[in-house]
Amino acid sequence: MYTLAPRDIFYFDALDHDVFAYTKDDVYEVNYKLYQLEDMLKDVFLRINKNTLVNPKMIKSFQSSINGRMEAELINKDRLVISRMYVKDLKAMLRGEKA
Amino acid sequence: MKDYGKIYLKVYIIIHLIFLLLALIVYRRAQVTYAFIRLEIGAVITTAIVGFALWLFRLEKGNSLINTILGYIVIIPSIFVLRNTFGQYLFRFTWLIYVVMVFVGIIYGFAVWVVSKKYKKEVDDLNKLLNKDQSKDQ
Repeated sequence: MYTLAPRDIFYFDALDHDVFAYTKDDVYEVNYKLYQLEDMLKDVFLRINKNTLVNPKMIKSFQSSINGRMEAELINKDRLVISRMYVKDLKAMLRGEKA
Repeated sequence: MKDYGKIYLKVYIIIHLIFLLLALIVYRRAQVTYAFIRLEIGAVITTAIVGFALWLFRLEKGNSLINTILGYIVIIPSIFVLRNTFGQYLFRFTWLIYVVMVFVGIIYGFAVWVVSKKYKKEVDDLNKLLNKDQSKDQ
C-alpha cells in the first residue's frame, strides 16, 4: 500500500473496473472509483474523457487532428484524448474559474 | 451505441428532408409519385450508412486520418441506395453516380476542413490559456 501526493500524479485512468494512477515513471492501482476521485480531487484534477482524470499542471501542450479529435500531451510524453464535452470545463479550469 | 443513436436521429431528419425534396423534384419533372414505403426504406438505409460514417469520423479511438478516410468510403454505398430508391428519374445516366461520388467527396472534404479548422482554433485557445497558466505559476 502506497500513499501518493496528488501533485505527483499525472492522471488517473479507468480500465474496466480498475482505476490506475500514473506518476512520472510508475503506475499504481487505486482503491477508489473514478467518480469518487473526481469528487475528492476536484480542485486538482479534471475529467477530460469518461475514463480519465488529468492533472492540468502536467499538461505540456494540446494538439488536434484532422477529424477534430483533441489530445493533451503531458510532460512525460503520454497523450490523452480530450472529449469535446469536457473542453468547456478544461478552459474554465485553465482560466482559474474552477480551481 | 448511444452516440450512434444520437447521430442516427439527427441524420434521419435531414435525410428525410432531402428525400422529400428529391421526390418533389422528380414529381415536378416527370409526374412520378413514389410509394411511401420505398422512400422510407431508402431513407432508413441511407441514414444507417451516413450515421455510421459520421460515427466513424467522430470516433475518438484509432488513427484519425484512417477514420476520416473510412468515413468517406462508408458513405459511398448510400449513393447506390439513393439510385435504387429514385431510379432512372433521378439518375438518368449511369455516369451520374460518379459525379455524385465526387460531389459527396467535395462536401465531405469541406466538412473535414471546417471541423479541423474549428478544433485547431479551440486547441490554439487552450494552448494560450495553458501558457498563461504556466507563466502565472512561475
